[in-house]
Amino acid sequence: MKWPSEAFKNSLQEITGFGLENCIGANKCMEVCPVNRLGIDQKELDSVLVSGHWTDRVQTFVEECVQCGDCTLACPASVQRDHMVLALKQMLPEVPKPWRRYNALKGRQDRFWLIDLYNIAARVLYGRLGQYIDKTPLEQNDLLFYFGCYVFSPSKAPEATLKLADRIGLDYEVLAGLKSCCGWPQYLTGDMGYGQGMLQYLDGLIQQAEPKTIVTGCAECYVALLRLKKKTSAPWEVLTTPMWLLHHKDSLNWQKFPDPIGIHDSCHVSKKVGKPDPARELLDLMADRVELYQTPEDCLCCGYYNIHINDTLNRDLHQQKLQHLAKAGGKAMAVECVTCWEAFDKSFTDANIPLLEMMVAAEMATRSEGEA
Amino acid sequence: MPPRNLLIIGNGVAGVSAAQQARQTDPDCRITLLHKENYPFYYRSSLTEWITGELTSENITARTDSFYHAMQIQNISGTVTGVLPQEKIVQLQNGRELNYDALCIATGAKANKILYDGIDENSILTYRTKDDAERIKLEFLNEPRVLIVGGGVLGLELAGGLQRLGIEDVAITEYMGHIARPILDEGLARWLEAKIRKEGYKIYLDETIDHIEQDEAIFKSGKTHHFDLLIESVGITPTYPNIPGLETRKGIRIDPHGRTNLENIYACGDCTEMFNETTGEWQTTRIWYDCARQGRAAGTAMAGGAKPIKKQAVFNCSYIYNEKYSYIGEPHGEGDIYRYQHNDAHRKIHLVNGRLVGALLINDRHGTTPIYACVGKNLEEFGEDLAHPDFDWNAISGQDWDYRFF
Repeated sequence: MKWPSEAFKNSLQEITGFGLENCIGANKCMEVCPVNRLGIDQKELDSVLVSGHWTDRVQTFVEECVQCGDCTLACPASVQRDHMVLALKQMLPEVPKPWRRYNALKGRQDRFWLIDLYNIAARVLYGRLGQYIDKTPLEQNDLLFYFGCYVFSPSKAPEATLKLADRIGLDYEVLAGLKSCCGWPQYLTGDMGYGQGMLQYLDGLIQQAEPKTIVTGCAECYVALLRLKKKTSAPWEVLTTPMWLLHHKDSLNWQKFPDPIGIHDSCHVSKKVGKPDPARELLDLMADRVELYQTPEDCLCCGYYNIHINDTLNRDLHQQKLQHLAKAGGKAMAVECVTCWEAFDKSFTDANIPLLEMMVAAEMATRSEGEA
Repeated sequence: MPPRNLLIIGNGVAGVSAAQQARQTDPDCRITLLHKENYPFYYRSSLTEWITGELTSENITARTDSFYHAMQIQNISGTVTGVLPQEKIVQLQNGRELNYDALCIATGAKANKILYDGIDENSILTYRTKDDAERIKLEFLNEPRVLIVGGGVLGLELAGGLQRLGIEDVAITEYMGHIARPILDEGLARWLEAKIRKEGYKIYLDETIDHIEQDEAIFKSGKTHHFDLLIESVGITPTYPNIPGLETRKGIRIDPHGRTNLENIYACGDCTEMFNETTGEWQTTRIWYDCARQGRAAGTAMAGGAKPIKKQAVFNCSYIYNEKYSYIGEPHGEGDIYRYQHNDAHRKIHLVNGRLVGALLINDRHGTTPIYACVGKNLEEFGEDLAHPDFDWNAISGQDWDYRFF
């Protein structure tokens, strides 16, 4: 399998060139962008793309872009604006410090020795999950849970997922840890080549397990796996955690939460891949669902990446989200993606509104009496 | 050796694309962009949104001031009165003369105007430039009864804008049997006509205005329609300076490099025509994307490089009325046609002898870019699956075009 970063770069250049020539200036992209706090319009981006002459405004915007893809969905001229901003990320004059911190360890093959040191402590501190952290070699199993670096997620989604699998009586293997990062952080920072390399490494790990099904609770990991599958014509299927759990819903006894719960759509799963229904179907088993928007495409992005870059920007987004939830009559909000959960966590905690990661909620909703 | 002196007449998408590409080809050359309009390069395609107030003047300006400075493109305003190819001089109305080593003509086109008995020529508005849009915008303050002549893309785009603006009394008259040619085939045109009528607008088909009596248009059929504002969208005609020896017919004739028959004189955009090998005819350029491509080719050539336009399928994505569309290649005609429809989403794929020749996607436009990349490929084996939104065009195109899976 050949994934030269040059090929990706050329593909990106082609998409960008095409976009520059096709843009008709409708500015819908920038109107729908959830992180466009500076009021950038697309000509500012195009002017930098062509001239290479950066402005502070454009540089800030490019750093804060979370690649949600709403811009491309909104464009009447079929311009892939998210890819064009990705091209700008590659062109940034310097790598911002928060990115360097964020990417310090995840998937860094040149720092595996440091990850090994980190893992010594992690395996002790993460209880039952510890045995899976960068486990090698993986054992063959038809069912592979892919947690990647979200094995460390404060959402407790990985633990809940495994509890559910045990409750159903399934046999599985787990691929987790910093070494198995999907490459998304590198994509987001414009380091496409390295991101590609990480995905290749991940492919090698997956091949050890020879799974038929891979399940993940992170939307970015899900999209990365879909990409990997396409690139390699892999025989396995990839599911989000709600998709997976729905296959086994009849093996569990469901109880409903007392209050109505609003649903937040992940940009990648609902909008880009176009699968908003599984999370809804799962939530319907355990709660009265309320919709916050007219369609899933209208859902306001969580702004995830900006918990590292511009927390204030995210806070503003989250306040809007809380208002939308209240207006819809939801008393709590469910998310199917752990990164969405991590983005919203602090804001919802401060507002005293429950934020439920879908697997955590499902685990609670299917506990038998007396089970903790 | 002194830097080459490049002069481009016209600051539309073709002229600015030429300037951009000339700079990227020759970092040292001098580039002057001469323009007649009082506005910097703007998105003509977004004038409707400017009229409705959805976009500001700032929004529709297509490049920042710092862009021209960074690219070292000098913008000057002026009207060309003459070009002397032997002396390599362009003469301006204010008496100034500009020398050049290479000249690119990107003077665009003007809106056609049909005149009628009973109405002053100046009372008929056209819709092409920002000046036109300014006039129209002012008139809309009075909430007029609007009659749009021309049911093509631009006329319908304006009608869509009026609908969003809440102007209630709007009629469209089209001399052919259905609206939206050449974008929509008859079946899809009927769908759109029904939609527009349902929203309260009138459409007159197979109709032309015979004459005007005060505020009433009298059609050749005898039907009549009252209006306050008559706006015509009836096509454009290339415009260019009169240059001795320059080969022209409808437009300035160019080759894929943007070269004219005169040495050191190039042209691009709506003022040109290019030979179409497939049809064996010379064709004018009417599409924004093609104008940009021509500009790129001409800018490269005039700066000493070579990046000719390759033969490529038509590509146009925008709004028709208020519906998004992607028009690729030749979606209509003989051959195998596969359709998909769900609510207001329509997808049409056209194969000839098994090869993809075109597609038309309305509202559901998934796969636009990879479909474009697949024109010419033999896709016979896939049959009607081709029209479905979930069809994997990326896999066929061999590239990661789809925004869903970067």
